[in-house]
Amino acid sequence: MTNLEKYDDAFLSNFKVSKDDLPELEYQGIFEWDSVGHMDLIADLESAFGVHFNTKDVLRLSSYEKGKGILKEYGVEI
Amino acid sequence: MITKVTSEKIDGNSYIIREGGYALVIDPADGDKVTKEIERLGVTPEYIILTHEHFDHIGGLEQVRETCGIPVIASRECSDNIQTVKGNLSSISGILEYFKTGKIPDKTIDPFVCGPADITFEENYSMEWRGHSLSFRRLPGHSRGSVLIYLDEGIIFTGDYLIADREVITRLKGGSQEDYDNIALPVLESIPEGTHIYPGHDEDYIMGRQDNGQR
Repeated sequence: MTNLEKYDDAFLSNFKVSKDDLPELEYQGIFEWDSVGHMDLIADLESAFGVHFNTKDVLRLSSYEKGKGILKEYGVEI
Repeated sequence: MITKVTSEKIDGNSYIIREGGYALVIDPADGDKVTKEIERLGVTPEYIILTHEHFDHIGGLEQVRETCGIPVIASRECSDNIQTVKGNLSSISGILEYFKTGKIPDKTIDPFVCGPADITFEENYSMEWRGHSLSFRRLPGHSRGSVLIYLDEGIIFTGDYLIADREVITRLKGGSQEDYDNIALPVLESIPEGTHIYPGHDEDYIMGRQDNGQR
């Protein structure tokens, strides 16, 4: 699986969206991406990429696109 | 006699059940606090028992297990999940604290794992201890490994179920609203009034004698 596929999979498995919806996806932009959904997403991203985000970065990860940039800071290219 | 141990470092109730100089430890959340209390009480603990696998209930598990040299009893699902950061949710402790308090915590718990429980069961388990009867019943919903711990007649340690004024969380990893509705809730609703509930957070109470919030 490519990094992009793993990344997309984390969003698709937690939120009822299609792949086409991903680029516009934002925290609290859909029902499931609330605080609990966010924690589930973070847990899956950490597991998928073997990273542990600090709390500030968890909060910064507020959209599908922003998440790519944050993962880059942890050495993961999406 | 039941003693509750709380901590500013980790939000989870631990309980020490005492009988004749011996003790059981339920959910050792803060190892320092629990071991200090064991010493203060002057008891010899004989078992650690877990209500479920989440980090705020097992933070001190390895410290207490090693210090006291005693076995751990948990459901098999709980035992499996305490061994991974994804299963015990320790990797998201910081953000969980933020969502609870609105503040980024100064210190977060580093992700950690525990070794497996020494005694596990799939759905039910019972034992006699120092003249007391204990039985455990697995109740998935909040987490796969959640159990109720019944002590004699009229006392139940409920983990993250039946916390007064708090909704049960079923959406975190390992949770299931379906399991909660179909498996856990019927059992929780059947608990008779007058039962003393010792939850994993906040205050204990007598069922039916106050507004206990959502089951």
